[in-house]
Amino acid sequence: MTDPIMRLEGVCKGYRRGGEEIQIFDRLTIDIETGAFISIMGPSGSGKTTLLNLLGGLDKPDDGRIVFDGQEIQGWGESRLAKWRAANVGFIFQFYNLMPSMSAARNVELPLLLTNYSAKERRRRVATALEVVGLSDRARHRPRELSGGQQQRVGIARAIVADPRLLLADEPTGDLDRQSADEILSILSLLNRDLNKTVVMVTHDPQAASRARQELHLDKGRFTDAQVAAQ
Amino acid sequence: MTDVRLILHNLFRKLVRTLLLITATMIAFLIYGTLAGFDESIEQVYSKIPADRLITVNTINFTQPLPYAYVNRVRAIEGVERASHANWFGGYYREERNQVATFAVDPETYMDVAPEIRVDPQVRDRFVGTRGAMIAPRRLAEQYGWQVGDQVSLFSNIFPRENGSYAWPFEFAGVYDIRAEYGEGGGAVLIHYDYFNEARRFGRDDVGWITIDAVSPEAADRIAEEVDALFANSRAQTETSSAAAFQRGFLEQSISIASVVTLVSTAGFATILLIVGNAMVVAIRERTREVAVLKTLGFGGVRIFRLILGESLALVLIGGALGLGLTALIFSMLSQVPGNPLPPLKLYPITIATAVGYMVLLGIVTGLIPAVGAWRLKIVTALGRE
Repeated sequence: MTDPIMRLEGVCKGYRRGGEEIQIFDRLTIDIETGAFISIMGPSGSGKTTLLNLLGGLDKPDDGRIVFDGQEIQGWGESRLAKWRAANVGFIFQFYNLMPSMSAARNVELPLLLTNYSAKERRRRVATALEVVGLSDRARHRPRELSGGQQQRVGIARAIVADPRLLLADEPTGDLDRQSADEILSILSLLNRDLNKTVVMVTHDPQAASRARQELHLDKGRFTDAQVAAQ
Repeated sequence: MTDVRLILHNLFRKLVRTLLLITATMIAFLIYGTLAGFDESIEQVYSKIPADRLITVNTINFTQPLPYAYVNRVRAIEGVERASHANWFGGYYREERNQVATFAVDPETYMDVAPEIRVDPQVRDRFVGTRGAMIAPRRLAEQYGWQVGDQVSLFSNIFPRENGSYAWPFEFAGVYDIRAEYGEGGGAVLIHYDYFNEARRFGRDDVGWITIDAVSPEAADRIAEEVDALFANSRAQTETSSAAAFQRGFLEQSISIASVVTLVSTAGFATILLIVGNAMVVAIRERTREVAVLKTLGFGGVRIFRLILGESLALVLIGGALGLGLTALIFSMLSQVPGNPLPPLKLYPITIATAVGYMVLLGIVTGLIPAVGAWRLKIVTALGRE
């Protein structure tokens, strides 16, 4: 077993909705091993998205620790978390969330604007990322000129262009047909296997989940799998 | 892609809306540039007028005459170095649309109290020595093709001659120039007061105003008071003020230019504030999800704030620069119009600097609300991930 890239330890998280306090997690603990490809399934409201939010530093726990590579991040401010995300986390969204007015290449380039790379180096990295997802010939196309599967591949290229170690995918195939979904899952597998990216994928689709190396089930804020529950 | 390109990209993604906003801003700064530039141009010219120069007019208003006899009585006041007089002629050439500002002056003394005039000594001698002579600013003479020795008829729209004709024949004696420090443009046709006075049907032995040079700026205030006191019980009472104040008063007979600048510019800028401010709020609200995505990718709140503020700043700066550019073009075109009675109009650095200051202020104020909103935007809320 390798060292965990990320560890959630005794995490509590709740929301107030309509005056009612909803407890999502109560002392949740999980280790994400370096190089893992984990799929997380579970019914709506089970806490899948909240878990991704916490892993990606988009939200903070009410209690508990979130440790990334030995550093506790739960107490960091927004600015520090933003820098950390830029360097370490790539996000893949269900609805792609591309900038509609920008070409595929410009969309992919966005995370690199947070680096000190020269324009030439940025162009090189964008070209490589698009090549990895098989969209070199669509670099100048805008999102509306691409199919759903192609848009999601641009989303993946954007997620990997800054070479983060952790990829967080929220229902990456939820809006795609079977064939496109398979293509996306193959790319994620490739990124995990060949480029050693740690992938955490939330999905409702058992077929998609089965492509991961580890399947976890979340229900009412708890992992039902004995392996994780024992941790 | 740099931040500047990102700002410009976002700014022009809704081309029609952005162009309309830029046009609105351009108009606001065209109005400001024109009014403030006009005011500053006048100020620049008037600042050249010596502080020891006074103008005496009828206290009712400057269109009412003063008796000619006042001129010599003014000259007798202690501290008056010289005094001259002039009369508005109200002229046009051939057709009424060819308005030609014309003064009937005492040719021997008027040049001494008009330092802006630079005239060749031969032309001056010819003018002084010929009762029916006229001299004109160079540009005006060139426009109408007047040559030395030509007989030129100017029409007065106020004064008929004894025979009832409004056409006044003059012999063209030459051109004069306005010294560069006074702006080179403008200037009036000058004719002999005596020639005009003897031939006019009414108003004989009246003058329009008296120009006084005091021995020193310190003596000027006292002399002004003494002049007005001297004629306090006369049929035509006087009002004496500095030449600069008189000139400004002449232009501001009905309304204060500074007030117009303030009022119109404030109204224009307030409108821009509402239009651009509202448009920016709507534009950023439309892009809430995109802002949240940028933040997810690692763009910090401060950088997002800067990008959005940069957008509104760029919008106002582009519109404002176009407005000032258009103002400069209009001023340049106006300066080419011969016989234009206005002082030479220019956009001085102070006007440009003030306008840029207003642009920056407007850009910041209009972008502040959406920029702060974006800065504080919670990713999980904006992406519906709660």
